[in-house]
Amino acid sequence: MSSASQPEEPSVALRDFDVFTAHEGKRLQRALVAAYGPEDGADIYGDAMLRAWSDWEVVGTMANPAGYLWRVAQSSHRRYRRWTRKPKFPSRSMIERNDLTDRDLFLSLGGLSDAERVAVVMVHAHRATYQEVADLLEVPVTTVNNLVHRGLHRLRVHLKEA
Amino acid sequence: MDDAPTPTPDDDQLLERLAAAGPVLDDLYAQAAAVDDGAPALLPVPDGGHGLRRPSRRSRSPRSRGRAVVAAAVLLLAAVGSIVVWAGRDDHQNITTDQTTTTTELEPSAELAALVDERVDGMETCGPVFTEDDWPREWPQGWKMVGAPDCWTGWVRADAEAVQPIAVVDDPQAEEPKQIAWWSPSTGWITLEEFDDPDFDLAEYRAAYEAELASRPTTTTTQTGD
Repeated sequence: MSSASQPEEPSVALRDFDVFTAHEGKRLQRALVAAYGPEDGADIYGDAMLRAWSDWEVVGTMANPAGYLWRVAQSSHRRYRRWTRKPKFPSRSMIERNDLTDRDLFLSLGGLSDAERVAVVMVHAHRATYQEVADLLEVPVTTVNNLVHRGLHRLRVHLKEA
Repeated sequence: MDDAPTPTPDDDQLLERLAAAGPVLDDLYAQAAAVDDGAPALLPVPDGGHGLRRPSRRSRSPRSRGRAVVAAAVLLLAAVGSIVVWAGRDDHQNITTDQTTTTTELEPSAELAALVDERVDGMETCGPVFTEDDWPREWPQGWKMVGAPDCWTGWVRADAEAVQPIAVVDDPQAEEPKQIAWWSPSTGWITLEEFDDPDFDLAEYRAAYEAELASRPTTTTTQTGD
C-alpha cells in the first residue's frame, strides 16, 4: 500500500464535505473496518476524517480525496501499531459477541491479509465495484482483481478447514 | 472485465455469506462508534448515518494512560540518572559515545530479526503468487510477479539481474508503470518508504532476511510467479 501523506495539488472545485462523507467517506469507513475491525477502524477513520475536516480547503479539491485519506489512515495505523498494538480483525470484543452471526466467516476473514480482506469485503460484502476499490486504494483494477481472487481462494480453504 | 463476477467453483454459499456480512460489519461499526465516552458525534452526517467517532484513544483506554505514566516515569528517571552521572564527572565534559570503536557488523539486531521473521511469516501465509498458468488474464511478457508480506503483488522485469533490489511496478502494461516497491530474492519486498529511509541499512536487512530464510528450509524463497 502506498504511504505518502502529503496533500497533492488541488485539481477540482471544492467538494461538499457532507456529500463526500456520505459516499466516498462511507466507503473509506467500510474499508477501514474491514482492515482493522470495527473499533480500531472507527478510531482510525475518525482520525482521517478529522484531518480531512481540518484541511478540507485542500483535501476537498483533490482529485481523489478518499485515496488520500486512505493513505492518511495507513500512516495513522502504523503509529497505532508502533505505539500500542496491532489492530486485529476480528477484534476480540467482536468475536466474543454472543449475537455475532457466521462466526466462522469472520474468523476466516481474519486469516487474510489486510489488503485481501479489504478487497474481498468491499467487493462482496459491500457491493463496491472493482474500480471503486481501486480508486480508494490507489492501485490498478488488476491488483484488486488479484486480491479478490486470492482472498476468496484462501477463504474457501480456511472455511473448509474450520 | 473490471467488475466481472468472481467465479464460484462450487456451491459453498461463500458469496452469499459475504453479502450477509456487510450489514453486520456496518452494524458493528455503528455500535463501536456509539460506544464513546458520551461525546457527541464530531461532525454531522447528512444521510442519518452513524457519524464520526471522536478520536478518543486516550480517554477510552485506561491501559494507555497507565503506559503513558510508566513511560513518563522511566523518562524522568533516565533524565535524573543522566544528570547524576554528569554531575559526578570530574571534567564535566560532554558525554559522548566512543565512535572510534564502532564496527560495521552484519549481525542483525533483534528488532530487525523479529521484523524480518514477521515478514517471512506473512509471505508464507500469503502463499505463492500467481503463475502464468493460473493468472486470469494475459500475462505481461518479460515480467514476473512478486509478492509482499501483506499479500500485495507487483511486477519486476524477468530479465533483470536482481542482486540489488529492482523496481516493482503496479501494472507493467500501463503507459507509465508506477513503482510501488523494491524487490530482490535476497531481500524480498521492501516498501519505497522503508528503502528511502536514511536509517535503512540494505546490507543488514539482506543479512537478516537471508538468515531468516536459511532457518526455514521449506520456505519458498523467491515468491515470484516464474
